[in-house]
Amino acid sequence: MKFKIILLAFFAVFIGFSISCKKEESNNVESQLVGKWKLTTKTVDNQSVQLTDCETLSRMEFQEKNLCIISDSCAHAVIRSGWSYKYDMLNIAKQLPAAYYIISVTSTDLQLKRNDFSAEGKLQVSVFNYSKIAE
Amino acid sequence: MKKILLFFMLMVSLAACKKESTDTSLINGLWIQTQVTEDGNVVALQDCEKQLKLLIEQNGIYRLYNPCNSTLRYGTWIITGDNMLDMSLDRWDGKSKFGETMKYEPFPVRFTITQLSDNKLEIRIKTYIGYRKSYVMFTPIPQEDLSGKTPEELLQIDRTNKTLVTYIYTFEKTSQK
Repeated sequence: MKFKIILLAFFAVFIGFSISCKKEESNNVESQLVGKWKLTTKTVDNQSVQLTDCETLSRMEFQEKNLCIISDSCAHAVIRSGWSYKYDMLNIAKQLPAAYYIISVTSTDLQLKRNDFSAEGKLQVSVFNYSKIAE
Repeated sequence: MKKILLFFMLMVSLAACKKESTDTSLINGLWIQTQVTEDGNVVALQDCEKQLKLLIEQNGIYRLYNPCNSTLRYGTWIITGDNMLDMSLDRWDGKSKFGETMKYEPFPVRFTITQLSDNKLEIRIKTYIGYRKSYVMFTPIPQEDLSGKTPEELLQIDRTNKTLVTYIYTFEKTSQK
């Protein structure tokens, strides 16, 4: 009887861990995204692309309540948008339908990948590297 | 001890009985339209229609590039019940007429997935010809010019539009950009 109870308890804990691990991973990515980022390098179809001066001045800030503020120096605009991290993709509402795959995120660096169609209809894969701006 | 063994055997056999389901994540990726059939008859596609690209991404958003008119459309998708693909497709708003710039609104459409593998997607829908004409599925069909038609001709068009047809769309996955 004691053995059965221990077995059931072990099973319940195992199931609990399996469910909570995935949610914890998602929360971890979201918390690491929070902050202000600046674009440092960009590649399109594995070719390095020279950033313009205004691109280097632009900033992207993810806030905790899923608010994203993009200071776009090229368009001379401040864009307020919602953001979410779901299905392993970073979705910024104002930039949809294009969304980002997070290649890697740490407390200081962020690497994103995005698919876009060119004007001729070719699929282009862009990779953006960001550095976090210290508060 | 015997009871515990019996319990485990029961669990294993129940797990084994679970129906093998399609890996729906295979739908993510870039697809090119290769064939369309209407009631089993292959539809002759223009060269540009054979280059139509459907990009399906795991966040539930798809993008559709039509090289025939260089337009990019987008919408949402979700797979339910393992073989039902629900997509929001552009549908003619019912107001813009022949010769005008067509206006569209998103509308939900359900397809049955008949085949999904790592390089082939086949989806089926049974619908009225009239509905098919009003949707961008996956290329737009121009609305008819009804001006100058006799009542008999309008009646014939109406009858045609109310005919049910089974459409099957076939796509192949590509890494081609």
